[in-house]
Amino acid sequence: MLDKLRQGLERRIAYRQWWDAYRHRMVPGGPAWSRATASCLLWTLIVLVVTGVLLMSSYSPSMTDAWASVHYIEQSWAGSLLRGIHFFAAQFLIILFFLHMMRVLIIGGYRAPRELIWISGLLLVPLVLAWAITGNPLSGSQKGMSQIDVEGHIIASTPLIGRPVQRILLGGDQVGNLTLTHLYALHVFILPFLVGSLLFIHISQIYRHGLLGNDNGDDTASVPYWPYQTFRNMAVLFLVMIGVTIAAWQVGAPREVPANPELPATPRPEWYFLALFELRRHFSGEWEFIATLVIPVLILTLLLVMPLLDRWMSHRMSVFLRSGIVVVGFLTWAGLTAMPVWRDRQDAAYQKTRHELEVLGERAWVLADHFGVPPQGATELLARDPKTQGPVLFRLYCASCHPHSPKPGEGIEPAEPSAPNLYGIGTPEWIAGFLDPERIQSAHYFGNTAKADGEMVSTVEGWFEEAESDEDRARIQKQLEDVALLLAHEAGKAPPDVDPGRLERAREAMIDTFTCTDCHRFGDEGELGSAPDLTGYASREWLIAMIRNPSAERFYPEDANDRMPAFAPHEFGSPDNQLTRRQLELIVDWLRQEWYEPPPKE
Amino acid sequence: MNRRTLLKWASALLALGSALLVAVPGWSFLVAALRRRSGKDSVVQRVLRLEDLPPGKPVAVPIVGRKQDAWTVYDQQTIGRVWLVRRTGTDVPPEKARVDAYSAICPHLACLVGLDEQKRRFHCPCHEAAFDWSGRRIPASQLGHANPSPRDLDPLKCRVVRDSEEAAWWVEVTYQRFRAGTERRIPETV
Ligand code: HEC
Ligand code: HEC
Repeated sequence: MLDKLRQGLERRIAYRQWWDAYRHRMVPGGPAWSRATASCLLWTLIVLVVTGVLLMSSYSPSMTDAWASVHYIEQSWAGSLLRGIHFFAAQFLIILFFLHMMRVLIIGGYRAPRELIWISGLLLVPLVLAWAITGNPLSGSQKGMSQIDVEGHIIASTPLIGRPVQRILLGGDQVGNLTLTHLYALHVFILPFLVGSLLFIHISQIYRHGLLGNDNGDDTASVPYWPYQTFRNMAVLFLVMIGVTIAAWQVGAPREVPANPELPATPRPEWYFLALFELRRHFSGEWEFIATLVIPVLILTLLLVMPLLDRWMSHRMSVFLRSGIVVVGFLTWAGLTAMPVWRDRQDAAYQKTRHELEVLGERAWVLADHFGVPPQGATELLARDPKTQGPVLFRLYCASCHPHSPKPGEGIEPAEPSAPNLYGIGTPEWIAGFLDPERIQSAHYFGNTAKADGEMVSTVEGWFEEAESDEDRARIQKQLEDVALLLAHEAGKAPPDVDPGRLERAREAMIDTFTCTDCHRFGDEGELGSAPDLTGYASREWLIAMIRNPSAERFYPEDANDRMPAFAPHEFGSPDNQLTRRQLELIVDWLRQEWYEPPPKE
Repeated sequence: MNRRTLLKWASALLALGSALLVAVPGWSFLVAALRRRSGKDSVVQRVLRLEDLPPGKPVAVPIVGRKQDAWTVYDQQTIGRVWLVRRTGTDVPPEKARVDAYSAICPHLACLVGLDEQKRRFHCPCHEAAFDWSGRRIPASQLGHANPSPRDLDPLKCRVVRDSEEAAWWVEVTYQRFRAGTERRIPETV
C-alpha cells in the first residue's frame, strides 16, 4: 500500500532523484568535522527563517507598535525563547559565515571550475550583513533606531548616490514609520529572496562539481555523504542549537528602551561592524567614505579575484598569500574591534549614559508589563512615568532653588540652594521637621528664604519658650507630632492605620492650643489671606495649585511670596504657562513619591 | 519580416508593456521618499523662561511641535533639542540679556551632542566630535584625535521676548535643521 503510494508519487514528481543526489554524493578523503561549517550554516539560516516567520506572526512594524509588539512577543515564554533563538542564531550565523569563508580560502576551494561557488559565496557576505543589520531596528528600540539613523547618514556620505539611497531606505529625510516598513520589507522578503537566489546558485554548483578533496588529491578514501558526513553535520548543528537555545533562555534577546527623541543616544554598531566604526575614526570629513565603502569593497574585490590571482602564482606564493589574508585579516579585524570596546570601557560619561538607558529600558518594560502600551505608542510609557520624568523636570525647572535630597550627597542638590528641600514633602517626618524650632530655620526648610524671619518661624520658636519644665516640653513635642500626623493625613501621607482619636486631638490642639487657625485656614476654621491654607495641605491638588500660582490667595497673596515662580497661572493650554498640566502632575506625583513599583521579586 | 518574427517581437513588446504598467507606478512609489518632507522649514518657539537659565552654563531644552510621520500625526512631539547658553549675568536687565542657541544635532552624523562640564565642551557620544561652549570645533591638536565634524555646531536664531501679558521674559528660538556631514550649512525641514 505504502509502496504503491511511493511509486505513484515518484512517477509524478520524480522526487527520488533529489534524495539520491544527496545520498550518493561522495566525500573525497572521508568525512570530516571541519566540513560541517557548510551544512551548519545552511541549517542555521533555515532556523532563522523559521523563527523569523513565527515572530512575524505577532510583529507590527510602526513607530507606535514595533516596541509594543516585541514586548507582547516577549510576554510568553515561547515567544521570548523564539526571539532569543532568532537573535543568537543570527550572531552565530555571522561567526560561522566567516569561519566557512576562511576554511574555503585555506583549502583553495575557489579554483576552477569552482569559481562560481566562491563568487556567489562572497557576494553573500554583504547581503547577509545587510540582512542582519536591517533586523536590529525592527525592535523599535532607542538603540536600533539611532543605529539606523547613523547608518543612514553614513550611507548619505557616499558621493553621488549616497543621499538618494539614504532617503529611499529611511522613507524620507528622518527616521520614522516608513523606515520601519522599508527595513521590514528588506529584512523579511527582499534580502532573504536575494540570499536564497545566490544560495541556489552556490549549492547547485556544489552539486555539479562535487565536493573538494584534500589538497593531496587522494580520492581513494572516498565515502558516501549519507550518513557518514551527515552524522557529523547534524552533531555540530545540534551542539550549535543547544548553545543558541541556552543563550536565548538564560540571556535572551536584548530588551532596550523604546525609541524616544527625548533620550540621549549612544549608538554603537553591532560587534561585527565595530572594526569599520574604528576605521572610520581615522578618516575625517569628506574622506570617511573611504573607510566605510572603499576599503570594504577593495577587500571584497581582492577575494573575488582570488581565482584569477591564483592562476598566476606559484603554489607556495598562493599558500603564503592565503594564510596571509586569513592571519592578517583576522588580527586586524580583532584589533580594530577591540579598540572601541576598550575606549568605551574607559569612558565614564559613555558608561553612565549607557547605564541610564539600561535603567530606563528596564523601567519601560516594568510599566508595559503592568499598564500595557497605550495607543500613542511605547514612548508614552516613560513620558507618563513620574518616577523617571519627575527628576528630569525638577532639574530643569525647580533645582535652581530647591534641593530634593534625602541626605547630604544624595539626590538633587543645587550649587546654591535657596528654597526648602522638597524631598518627602507631605510626609509626617517632613512636616514634623518643619514644626521643629531647631529645624524650621535650617537650610532644609525656610533657612535660605525670606521666610527665615517670617511669622511662621517666630511662631514655631515661640511654642517652646513658654514651656516651664521638661514635662511641658515633652507634652508640646508630643502634640506637635500629632499635628504633623494630622497634616500628613491631609496630604494623604499618614499611615493607613492611624488612630482617628489621635487625629481629633491634633485638630483640637491646632485650633485651641497652638491657634494655627488664627493665621491659617484649616477646614471650616480660620481665614485665607495671612498664611497658606492648610486644608488638604500638600495633597496632590494642593501642590498642583501651589506650583501653578503660589501668589494665589490660598497661599502667599500679594507680597508674601518669596521668589517661588508661578509655573502655570493661566488656564491650562495657554502658551504663557511655563509648565503644562501633564508636566505639573508628573512633578507633583514624583514629589509625593506616587508611581508604580512592581511587587518585589521572590 | 515573416509572421514568426513578428510574433516574437510582438510577444516581447507585450511583455514589456505589462511590465511597465507595474514598473512605472512602482518606481515612482519608491522614489517618493526623495521628495518627502517631514515638516516646515523652521519652528519658532519660546523654550524657557530667562530666569530658569543660569548664566554661563549650557542648558538643553526640547523643541516640541507638530510632527507628521507618514500616516501618524503627532500634535506634541519632541522634534529637536537645543543647547542654550546665557552669555550675560543676572545683573544685566532682561531686555539686554544675550542668549545663544545651538542645535544639539551633531553636524557629523546627526547624533545628539551632550555636555562635558569639566572640559567645558559639547561632546558627541557617537564619534567623539567636540565643540567649545561657543559651538566652535575643538581642533585635533587639543582633542588628541581628528575631530570628525565637518563644521561648527549650527547656531540658531535666538531672542529674549516678553509674553503676551508683558510679565515674564522668555527665550525664543527659531529652530532649524541642517544637513549632516557637509561643510556648508544646507537647511532641511524640521
Ligand atoms: C526661584 C526659586 C524657586 C524655584 C525655581 C522654584 N521654587 Fe518652589 N519655592 C521657592 C521658595 C523661596 C519657596 C518658599 C515659599 C514661598 O515663599 O513661596 C518655595 C516653596 C515651594 C513649595 C511650598 C512648600 C514649602 O516648603 O514652602 C513647593 C511645593 C514648591 N516650592 C515647589 C516647587 C516646584 C515643584 C518647583 C519647580 C517646578 C519650584 N518650586 C521652583 C523658590 C523656588
Ligand atoms: C502667627 C500666625 C501663624 C500661626 C499661629 C501659625 N502659622 Fe503657619 N504660617 C504662617 C505664615 C505667615 C506662613 C508662611 C511663611 C511665612 O511667611 O513665615 C506659615 C507657613 C506654614 C506652613 C508652610 C506652608 C508651605 O508653604 O509649605 C505650614 C505647614 C504651617 N505654617 C503650619 C502651621 C501649623 C501646623 C500651625 C499651628 C501648629 C501654624 N502654622 C501656626 C503663620 C502662622
